[in-house]
Amino acid sequence: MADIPKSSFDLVQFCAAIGITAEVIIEIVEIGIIEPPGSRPEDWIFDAHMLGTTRHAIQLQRDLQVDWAGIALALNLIEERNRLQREVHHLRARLERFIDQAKD
Amino acid sequence: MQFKDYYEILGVATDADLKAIKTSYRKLARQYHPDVSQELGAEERFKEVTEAYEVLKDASKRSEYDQLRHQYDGASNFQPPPGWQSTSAFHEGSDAQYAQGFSDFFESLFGGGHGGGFADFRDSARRGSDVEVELPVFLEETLGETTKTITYELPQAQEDGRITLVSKKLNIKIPVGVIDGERIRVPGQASPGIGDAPSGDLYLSIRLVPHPLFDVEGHDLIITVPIAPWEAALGTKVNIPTLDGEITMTVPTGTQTGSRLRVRGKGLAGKQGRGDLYAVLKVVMPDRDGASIDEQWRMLAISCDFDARANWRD
Repeated sequence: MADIPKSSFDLVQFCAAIGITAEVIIEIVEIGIIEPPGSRPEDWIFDAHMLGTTRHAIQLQRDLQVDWAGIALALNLIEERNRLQREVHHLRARLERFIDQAKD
Repeated sequence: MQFKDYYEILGVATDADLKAIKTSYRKLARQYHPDVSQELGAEERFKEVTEAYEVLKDASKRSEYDQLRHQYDGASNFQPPPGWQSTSAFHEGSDAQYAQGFSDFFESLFGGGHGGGFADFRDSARRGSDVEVELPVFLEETLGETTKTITYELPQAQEDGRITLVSKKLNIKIPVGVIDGERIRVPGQASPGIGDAPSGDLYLSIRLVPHPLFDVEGHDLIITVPIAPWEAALGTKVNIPTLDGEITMTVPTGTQTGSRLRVRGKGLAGKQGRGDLYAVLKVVMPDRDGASIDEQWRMLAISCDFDARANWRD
């Protein structure tokens, strides 16, 4: 049985997990794509969510060839669009329960 | 296999310079990127565009491709010339992984397989790749600690450098109070590392399964409860289901359709205790079943001096 620890990484572990240099991570943090707690890079603590975001950012950067500021904007917009899609989905489901009279 | 015209895919002339190729790629990538595009077939198109760009942006790959394209006679079933071996095939592990989604055509020209290419990275120690698996969880299962058996597939590099999928089974304890979209890391349960390098991590992406009765809003739950017009008028007690058993709820007198009643602590589990359950009341009309009922409604209309649209258009 695999127990699930609360996962966190330091900068070195984070770089190893993603397979990228610390310079890139520092750039991504400086532009605010992820915000690990800790004041200096060696104190930064990363979590699984940041790992996902960073991977996504790197993939987008590679695919779209946009600078990090553009990637930050794209990620915000994608996240916002996903949130809105989920909300539309939820509201529609609730509305259907409400206006769809029992037909049987 | 089908011959791919990378120039046509990128919409550039065969003598286009690198700048024109880059410009066209960027434009198409933005148009078809699966994260951005809602178009049908966008993902396939995006892969094709990436593949074309991968070849045309690289001078040596491009010249090898040009040579083949020149010799290609238009046959529907393209085969690389006998003894074909690219000098510009991928050699690094990360690039080889990146190229995994590319076509057989690309693979036959620049990939590994028999011709070398991908095989090279078996020599160096390399951490196994991470894998993300979506895990559907029922609302009831989020209230307490649950164990689930998951089956997932792992890409594994074989001796000859080729990558195949291997099925794996694992029992996982799901912590209390997981939410939709949450990612859980299970260290070391993804692809084994190469050489002495560690295995990759498994990431479980939680998906809450839609419930037939309850909708989720953060840590709160919403249930729509039908009531009769006289129950709305006079008030009543209604038994309603929750995720952990039935409870009795008091509907106050004069309840309007759409009003919400809160049942504290019957929502989903969260860090600050459980959320609430909201019952949204919906007044439902009975079927018309006869003249005597109609007569009673009529009497009600007379005795109850009520204009539902009094403030409607103000």
